[in-house]
Amino acid sequence: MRNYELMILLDPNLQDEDISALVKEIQQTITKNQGKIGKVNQWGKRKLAYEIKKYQEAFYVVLNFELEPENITNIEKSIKFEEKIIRYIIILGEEKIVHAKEAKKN
Amino acid sequence: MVRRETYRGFRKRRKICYFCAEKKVADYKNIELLDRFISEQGKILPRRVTGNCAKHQRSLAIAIKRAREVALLPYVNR
Repeated sequence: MRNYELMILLDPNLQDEDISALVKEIQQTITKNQGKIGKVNQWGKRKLAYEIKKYQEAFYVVLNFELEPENITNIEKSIKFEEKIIRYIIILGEEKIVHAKEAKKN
Repeated sequence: MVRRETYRGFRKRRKICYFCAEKKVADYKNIELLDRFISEQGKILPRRVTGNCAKHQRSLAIAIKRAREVALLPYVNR
């Protein structure tokens, strides 16, 4: 199992229900692929630093999850074909980041 | 007491890596932090300006590039 972090940028014209539905959908595909869901962080609407697909702003959602590395392509495929998602990034969640957060608290 | 502060342009000969001193790791989501290490045009500042150590400069560069990918930071700022 590896820690992953997925950040998705969503169409700014979506309603809150659509966003939570979409997040649930992604979480379901993760659990279907024997993954464990971690934190979900909804940043809300943010201005983009540059235009993407004619949008000036987007909803940012950050999802953390654990997954076997061979299943990550399944998740990526399902995200790729979702038109509400205008941009996504999947990174390996490094443990160092967790340490850094702990250090901040101290 | 001498405060450690990173000035963009001229600074005195004291080169202290921000990330070593603060025991932080560059994260692509922390834009306020990354913003201090980019120029007005949106370029990554070189090590000779920031005074970062090689290890942290590398991780910083990756973080900035990730942030650019998700439009948190600009590729160019005109």
